[in-house]
This record gives sequence, structure tokens and C-alpha cells, in this order.
Amino acid sequence: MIDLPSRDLEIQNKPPQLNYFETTNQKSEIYKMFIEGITGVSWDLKLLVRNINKLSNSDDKEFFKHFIKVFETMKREIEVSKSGMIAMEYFLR
Amino acid sequence: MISEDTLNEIGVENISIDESKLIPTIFINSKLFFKIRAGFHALASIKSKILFILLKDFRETQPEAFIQKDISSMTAHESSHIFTKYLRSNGVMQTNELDEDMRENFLTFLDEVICKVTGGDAPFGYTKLRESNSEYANFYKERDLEKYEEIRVIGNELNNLLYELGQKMVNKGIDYANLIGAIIRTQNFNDLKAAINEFDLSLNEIPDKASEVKVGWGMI
Repeated sequence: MIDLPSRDLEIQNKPPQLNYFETTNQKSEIYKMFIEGITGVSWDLKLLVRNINKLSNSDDKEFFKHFIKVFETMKREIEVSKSGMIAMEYFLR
Repeated sequence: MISEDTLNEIGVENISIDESKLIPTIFINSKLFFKIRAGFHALASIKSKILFILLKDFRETQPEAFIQKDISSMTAHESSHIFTKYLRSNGVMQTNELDEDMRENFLTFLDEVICKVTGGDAPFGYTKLRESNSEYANFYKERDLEKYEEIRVIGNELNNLLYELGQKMVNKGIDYANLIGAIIRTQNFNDLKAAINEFDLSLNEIPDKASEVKVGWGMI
């Protein structure tokens, strides 16, 4: 076992400092994950929440947490309208 | 609004619905799509309570690889419109423009830029006044010509910046969609312009694709 001075341990536990470009990338990736969920490419809520929690700016975190609620609302409403459309298609044929 | 005559003309045989996606995608014969909205390839039902995406059906005339890429891109773009519609109506995406016309046009512009890059296209936006001879634009011109000009100038200026930025992103090998994180929280035209400039500036630290130094066995 290697003895690490406590200061080094503290540094290791801190999230890496990202520059402006990397931070915007994190946010873009989060948005893309929502769109992938809508288009059926992939949906991993746990990973999404983890990525939101990785954001260093608390306002950004809050902003994207609202996206999850909105996504769920949208999903419920789409399911309702979709069943209506499927019924319409059935009668049309 | 689609007229009853158009609906009758479309005919059931020219409509197919892909229900595998969260938002149903309706494919419509390309000639008939023209009647619904000339000059467009895809539409999202953002003003309707029934949510769906309409796509021009290229499937019988285009090579398969191209179609898949195209369908994915258009679906992502239109899905993004539906999602941002919800984000706006739930107060998540907001504007602090004071003037009502500015508010509406800012949100339209921002929405389009986000959806464009989400679908893999170069960043570009538009205001509701993009078609200078449309009924909507004429109504604006008659009501307040000065504001009409102001909104069009802002839109053009931002699109010039976005065009330059898009070129730079290509040179740096950066996906257009990376712009989303920089602009999604902007709330007015000035914020948006500042965010585009800041993002542009941040790209200076990234080397151009062509200027990357080649090292390793590939050089021998």
C-alpha cells in the first residue's frame, strides 16, 4: 500500500477542471442523449443523470435536470397521441 | 393546415407510419409532400396536440445508404423541434427579450440553430421573417417596418457569424452539434451572439485538421 499525503488524496477526489470548450461539449452530449432517446437510438437514464451530475456549474445541473421532467411529460403525451394514430391507421385500412 | 382535398389526394397507399420511434414518423409520397409544404423535406407537428413527424418518402428513388443517413438526420432535426417546443412551454428554455416580437423571433432562431446542428447540418437559423414576401412578413412590414428591418438585420448578422463558425468547425474536425452546449441557455439575441463568439474563440486552441503533426509508424 502506498502512503499518499492527504493533500494528494484531496486532489484525486476533485473532478477534473475542464476548459470552456470541454464544458460546452459535456452539455452538447447531454442534449444529444435526449434526442437519441426520442429517436430510439438509445436511452440510458442512469448514464444521463451521471453526466448531468458531472457538470461543474450548479445552474447547468439544474437546467438539465428539468429536461428529464420535460422528457417524461413529453413521452406520456406522445404515447397517448400515438395510440390515437394507430387506431386511426387501423380504421383507414 | 392540410385541406381535406389534399388528404383525399394523398391516399392511404401513399402514407406509411413508422411506430418504432417514440415520435411516430409518417412517410408521405414526395410529390404529395410538396402540396403540404413546398420546399421542405420534413415537418414536425409542433402546433398540433397529436405529435408526429412527416418525412418526404425518398425510399423508392434513392440509394439505401443515403436514405438511412438522411432519414436519421431529418428525424433528429424534427424530434429536436418537438423537444424544444416542450422545453419552451414548460419554461425551461426561456427568453428575456423585452419586446414580444423579439421574444418570438429569438426563440424561433435559437430553436432552428439547435435543430440544424442536432441533425448534423451546418449551423444556421432563421426568424419568422425569413421569407420576405410571406403573408407574415408583409404583416410585419406594414405594422412596424423599422422593427421588421431590425429583426432581419440581426438574423443575417448571426447567420454570417454562424457560417464562419461552421467553416472553422469543419477545419478543426469538430462536430456541428458541439455548438449546442454553448448556446442552449442563451435568452436573447445579444447573449446568443456573445455565446457564438466565445465558442468561436475557444476553437482557436484546437489545431486545424490539416496542420496536425503526423507522428508514428505512418510517417515511415
